[in-house]
Amino acid sequence: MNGSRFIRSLTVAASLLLSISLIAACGSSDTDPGGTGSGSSESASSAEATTLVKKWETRPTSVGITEPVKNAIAGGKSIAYIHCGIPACDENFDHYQEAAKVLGWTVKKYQTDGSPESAVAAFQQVVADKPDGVITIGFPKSLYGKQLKELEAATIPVIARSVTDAAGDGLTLVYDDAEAFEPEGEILSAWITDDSNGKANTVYADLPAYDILESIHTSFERNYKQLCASCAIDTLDIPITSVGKDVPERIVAYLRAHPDVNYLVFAISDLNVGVPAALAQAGLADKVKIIVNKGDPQNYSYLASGQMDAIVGVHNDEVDWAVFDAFARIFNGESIAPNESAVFPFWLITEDNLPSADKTFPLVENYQDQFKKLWNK
Amino acid sequence: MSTTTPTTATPTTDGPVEPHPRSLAARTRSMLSPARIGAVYVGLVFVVIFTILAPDTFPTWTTAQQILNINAVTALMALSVILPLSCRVFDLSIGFVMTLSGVTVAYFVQKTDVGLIVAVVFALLAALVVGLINALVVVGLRIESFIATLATGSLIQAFITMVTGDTSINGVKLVSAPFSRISQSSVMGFSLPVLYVILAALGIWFLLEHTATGRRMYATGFNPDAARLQGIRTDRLKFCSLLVSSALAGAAGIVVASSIGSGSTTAGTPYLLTAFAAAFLGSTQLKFGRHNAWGTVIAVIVLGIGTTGLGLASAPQWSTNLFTGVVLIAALAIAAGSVRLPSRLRRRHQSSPM
Repeated sequence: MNGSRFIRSLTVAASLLLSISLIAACGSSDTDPGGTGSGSSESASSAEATTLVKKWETRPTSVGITEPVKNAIAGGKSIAYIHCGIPACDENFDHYQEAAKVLGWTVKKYQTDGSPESAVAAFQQVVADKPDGVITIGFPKSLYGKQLKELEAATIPVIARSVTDAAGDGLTLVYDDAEAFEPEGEILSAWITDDSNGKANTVYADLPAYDILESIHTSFERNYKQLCASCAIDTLDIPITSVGKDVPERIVAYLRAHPDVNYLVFAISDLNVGVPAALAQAGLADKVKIIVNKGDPQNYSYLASGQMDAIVGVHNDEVDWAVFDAFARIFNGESIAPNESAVFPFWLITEDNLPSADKTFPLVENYQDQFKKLWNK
Repeated sequence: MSTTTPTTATPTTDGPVEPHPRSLAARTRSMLSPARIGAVYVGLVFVVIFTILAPDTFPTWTTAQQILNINAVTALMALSVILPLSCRVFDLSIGFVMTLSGVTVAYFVQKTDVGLIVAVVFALLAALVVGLINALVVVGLRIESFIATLATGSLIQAFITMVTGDTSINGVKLVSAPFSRISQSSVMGFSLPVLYVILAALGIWFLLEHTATGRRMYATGFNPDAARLQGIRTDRLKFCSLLVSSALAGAAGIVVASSIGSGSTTAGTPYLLTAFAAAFLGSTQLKFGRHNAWGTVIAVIVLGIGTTGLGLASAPQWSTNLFTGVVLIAALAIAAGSVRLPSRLRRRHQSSPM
């Protein structure tokens, strides 16, 4: 390699290195500093937080719907379920099959890989198959608008979960829209305020790729500032490509760069995978407490072994059965007002009240019996 | 005319003859040449940069520990592809093998009472079975390794999904000792996986640099036809290299499962590209154009310096990927871009007239 080629290579390399250094130095941080410091105790807000914690720590006993279906429910219906494409949605299918069995119905799963193209293809197939009802999770209405019109024309009801869309234009009912997740922000902030006695310095690790999580973040920030006005709060956005890969490294780096942070909130439980071990290796496990939104068996295991501190349990089982409750009323020609006004349960789960560390569990223990009673089954 | 008869030189009475200083200086210059350790200089530049950007947190012993601890699994995965690449064989199934072994060990630890050691053995055996399948397909059926291992990887993923229902295996046993100790025990602040990396690198280094087998592997990689005509059993070397790569990937999978406390059905996928990037970057270090263990370790550390430094400097979330791409280009540029790729993947340039 001659000298001029070497110098050219070195120049290219130096330029690239300088560029990245400038970008890294000048790029704005994803964090939004807030609060005024580590916070001082505010007795009124702490008392309110303690009251809220006691309320949410109690295991819920109602599925949120109390009005029975008026008429007998006919069997033989077929329901189409558009799978969201990630493993978490397999559990929903299991619930749908259980509910369908009670009603004498069948559920057919239309698998997608989560991509828009596969979702549209699935909807197109559903239109062709003409089921009695359709369930979809996570896909925005705009994606399948054409198929939605066709389903509406065929008077096939469509119920969606975990979307920011409103009902209408062919969408019969929406469960778990943005508003439904409001209580989660209250639970997260109440636990932190109570546990810290109003002296929290919190970082909220968010997953901006999912719009539906934005409402939880907004609710959390609002409630947190109300309950603990002098507590500090910051946000760390996690890119979707980091999930399952380098989230632990990002968290460790953030906490080392912000040594005053003593509470860590995850917008969703998947973000906590591998984090407890990484914190332990970095000597940070005792310096920060962890609470996640929406538990799963992995986080239940962490909770049971003391590697994290709290989980906001979400009403997955209950709402899945409520979908079939709504279909039953629709097929009977009855009002779905009980479904539209339903307030579904949440639960603040700690090591003390964790029912199981190895598997998922419903929030309401006898939720299936409650629905069977509503259906007169 | 007088003649002189040459006489033999007699040693001086001043002691042994000193090495020629020019030769020593030349050797030192060669060892420290950017063409040889360009990535090290890139890493040093970033150490300086991040020391300026994060003076309170970056230049600490804790940071060094963090870089090594966090990147140990990546290093294991990168080392797993060294031997096949030395024989000019691609093993693209390593990510799936990693997932398979993680799920296997998690299953046996959580769902059975066979004990930790047996669970680990089963996981490694599962990995070796895949390695065997890869070897039979690549060597026996003569299918291009790039395609063959992609195909076996797809089969492995299908198998994992079928057996697990695409649901991760979780449980208290997986987040507690003794299983957690595999990855979470530490010595002087360095986690055990760092030790595994050192041992694996030592083994691969010794094999490639100090054994005839290693020489033959390089010969197979540089020119398989010539090597075969020379009597080297190229098929056997390729066969064994695929077994070793699967075994190492399997070991990495066990470490990851211990680290996250779960048998994740997608744990291995994110490591594939990083492993190959580190392996190819490592081939530009120390042994110019040859895949080598310590060059690979250097590459992983340099990449790790950047990602850790960016995190400590609170850089934007997109900067990590940007950094990885830039440092690869920069390191290769400094090393004159000499990366040995299989001839099928390397554009054949017409040689200039002599």
